[in-house]
Amino acid sequence: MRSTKIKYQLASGAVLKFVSWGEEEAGVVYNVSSGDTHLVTKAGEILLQLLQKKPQTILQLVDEVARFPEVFTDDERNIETMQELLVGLKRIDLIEPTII
Amino acid sequence: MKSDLVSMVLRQPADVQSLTLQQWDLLIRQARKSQLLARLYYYLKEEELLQYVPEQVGWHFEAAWAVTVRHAESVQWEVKKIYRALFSVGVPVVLLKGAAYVVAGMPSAAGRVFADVDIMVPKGALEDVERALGRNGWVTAHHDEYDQRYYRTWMHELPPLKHFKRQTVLDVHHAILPETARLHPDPHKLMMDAVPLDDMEDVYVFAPEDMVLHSATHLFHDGELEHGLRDLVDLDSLLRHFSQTDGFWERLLDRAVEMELARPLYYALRYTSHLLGTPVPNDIQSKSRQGEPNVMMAWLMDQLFYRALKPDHASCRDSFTGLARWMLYIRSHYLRMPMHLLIPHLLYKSFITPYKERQLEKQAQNQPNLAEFLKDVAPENRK
Amino acid sequence: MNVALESADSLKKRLSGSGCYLSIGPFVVHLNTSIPSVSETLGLLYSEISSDPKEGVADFHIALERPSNHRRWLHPQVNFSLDGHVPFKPLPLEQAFPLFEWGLNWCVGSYAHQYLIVHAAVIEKNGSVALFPAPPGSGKSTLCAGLVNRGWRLLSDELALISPKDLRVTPIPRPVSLKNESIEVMHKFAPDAVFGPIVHDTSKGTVTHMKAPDESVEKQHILARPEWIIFPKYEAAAPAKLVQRSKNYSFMEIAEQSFNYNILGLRGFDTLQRLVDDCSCYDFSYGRLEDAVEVFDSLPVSNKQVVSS
Repeated sequence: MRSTKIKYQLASGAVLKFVSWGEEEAGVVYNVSSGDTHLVTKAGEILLQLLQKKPQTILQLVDEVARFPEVFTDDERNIETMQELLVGLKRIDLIEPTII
Repeated sequence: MKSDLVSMVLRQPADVQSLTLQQWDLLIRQARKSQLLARLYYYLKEEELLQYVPEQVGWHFEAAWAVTVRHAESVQWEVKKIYRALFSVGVPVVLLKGAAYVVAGMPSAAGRVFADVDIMVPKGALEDVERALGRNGWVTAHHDEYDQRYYRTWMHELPPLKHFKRQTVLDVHHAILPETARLHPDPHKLMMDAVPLDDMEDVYVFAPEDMVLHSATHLFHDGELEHGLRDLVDLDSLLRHFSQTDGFWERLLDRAVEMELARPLYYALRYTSHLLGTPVPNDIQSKSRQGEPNVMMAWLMDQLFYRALKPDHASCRDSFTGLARWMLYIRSHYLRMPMHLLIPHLLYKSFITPYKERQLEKQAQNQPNLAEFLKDVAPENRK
Repeated sequence: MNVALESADSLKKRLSGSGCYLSIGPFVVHLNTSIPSVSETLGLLYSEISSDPKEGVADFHIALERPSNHRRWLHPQVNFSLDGHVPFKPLPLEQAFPLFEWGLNWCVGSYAHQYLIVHAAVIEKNGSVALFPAPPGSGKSTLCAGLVNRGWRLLSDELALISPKDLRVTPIPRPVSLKNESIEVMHKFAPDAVFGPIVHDTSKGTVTHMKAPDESVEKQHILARPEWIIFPKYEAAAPAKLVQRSKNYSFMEIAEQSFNYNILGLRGFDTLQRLVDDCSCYDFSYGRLEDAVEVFDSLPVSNKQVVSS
């Protein structure tokens, strides 16, 4: 569903730990509950941390990431880019649409 | 036949103080074979007896424990996924066995090795459930046509499902015994009395008496006794836990009669008390004898179960153990399905399946061997 | 008593009778086998280890025996069993000793969860400790074999046993496995080293094992904490070169090369995080062992103490 009204949240029960070294594009995310380890981009990491705080819609996320211009350039602060990132995070079971 | 050190220690944990180093060696091997190494560690920890574990063997217990901790976390995650997948179907889902113990935070969960997750749903909802699970990544695990027919047509069950990403197995039941079995505990009653879980809507676990009866039925009725002692320890743990509630024993007896499960309950109380020292009150033990078989059968069952409920380790076998296990295997299938299905089924299982497997092997020309296993074991463990 | 001090006949007899207790690194292995090639190769390659721990308790009860089936005479085979459990299909009889090695790797990797176990070689010299995580085919074993014949101590060539408490590696110096072309290379590079029989047609190709240097076995009680994590890659004719490598990618690669990272859960993640944090991570490509030795010998000498157990 491509409705912009869908709220996304961290996969229920997920407890995440982040670690990254250096100024690189990627960092490591460990899901304590599932035991899965992932390499995610800085952009993905920021999204996860935002969703960890509270569930948000795509539009809300587009707004929020304005605070990180070094990671989300002007070109990237749009629905399409956000959708791509969210699909990627959903595929590795880190986020999910809220049920209700 | 050397002694069954595992049962001895389970009955009387304090006995570990007098074990020699060689006995510790044997205990660990027997316990590992029975998948009870972590559970033993748990009991020793609870009884503050860890100081008696010799230094050179301690790691075996801790390592086994670490595995079970991870298993429990994994089951919790799996249950959350199942909950989400079935949320839209809107039917009650009952967690069974190990998954129930873990999610309900019961002591029976400690040190447990989990394989599949088992759930029960209303029979009418099976199709919808299978579809919802399919949409969320669960696919059928058995591709053999015979196995599909065995489960669906004959046993009226869904074959086990496997999640394509996580490789976890999910068994969806609609009753605790197959329709073809000789006993018919009413699944509707089981669902009506199931206990809801706090944080997941429409997810339940069995009422205490039903949990015990389900465990007893699985072990003494339709189980293949591959892990007989481990299942007996499960039962013992459930009984000790629930007996702390007033009136539990009486309710258990009444429920057994109501559900036609007096026979498995009789066996359960008999063997847990004899082998593991489960504190079953004498009057309850006597009353449970209403489920007793005739004298000859009782004697035969003793011969079979006393052997099959030992650790499946070379040190615990006598010349009849193999026969006993085989007979119980046949019995479990006999109790699950009518005669006219049973013989062809057993024939298929013992002769045709291995042959078929050999055929597939030749075709694939791909003998899984150790080196490949080693190559695969890291990615395998990752998933 | 060391294996070496026992006559070949006596060893053979004990192995096929009540079995032998072998102290291999931190583990005691009880071995039963009536297969002559195993007892002979054991005597050759494990000569420095103790074969008679007093207490009669073992971590792994291993047996290597021929299965009694119809193939017994046509195509002789060998089975590996751990306390009566046979985890793999049988292999041709000639591969009995490699099967023992691979089987023991499997035992440790499957059960020894007191460690974070990484499929890696670990070597040490003058306090400098290097860990080589590597998938098969990267040239790790050849590099390792080469370096331990030029003064480096062998802690392990396959299984890095890392303590979650203090990140120290527990040595388990065992015969180094060599494959295909490496065998020829090592014979030339270390003509004085002791090699086991060459076994053909295994799933890994042609294999042999090189005995661990005596000193490595003598010092197996000395644990050491890695400071270099080096990902080797053999490339014919390539100059030996160390190139710094992303720690984030290194973390993922090591997790992938670990037998039990997943089983250890949060503790595994935490241990690996601290390890990667502590160490310098490099890619290392090389074509000639001599060049590799030069590069490694010029690694800055550590001022960290190598702590004994």
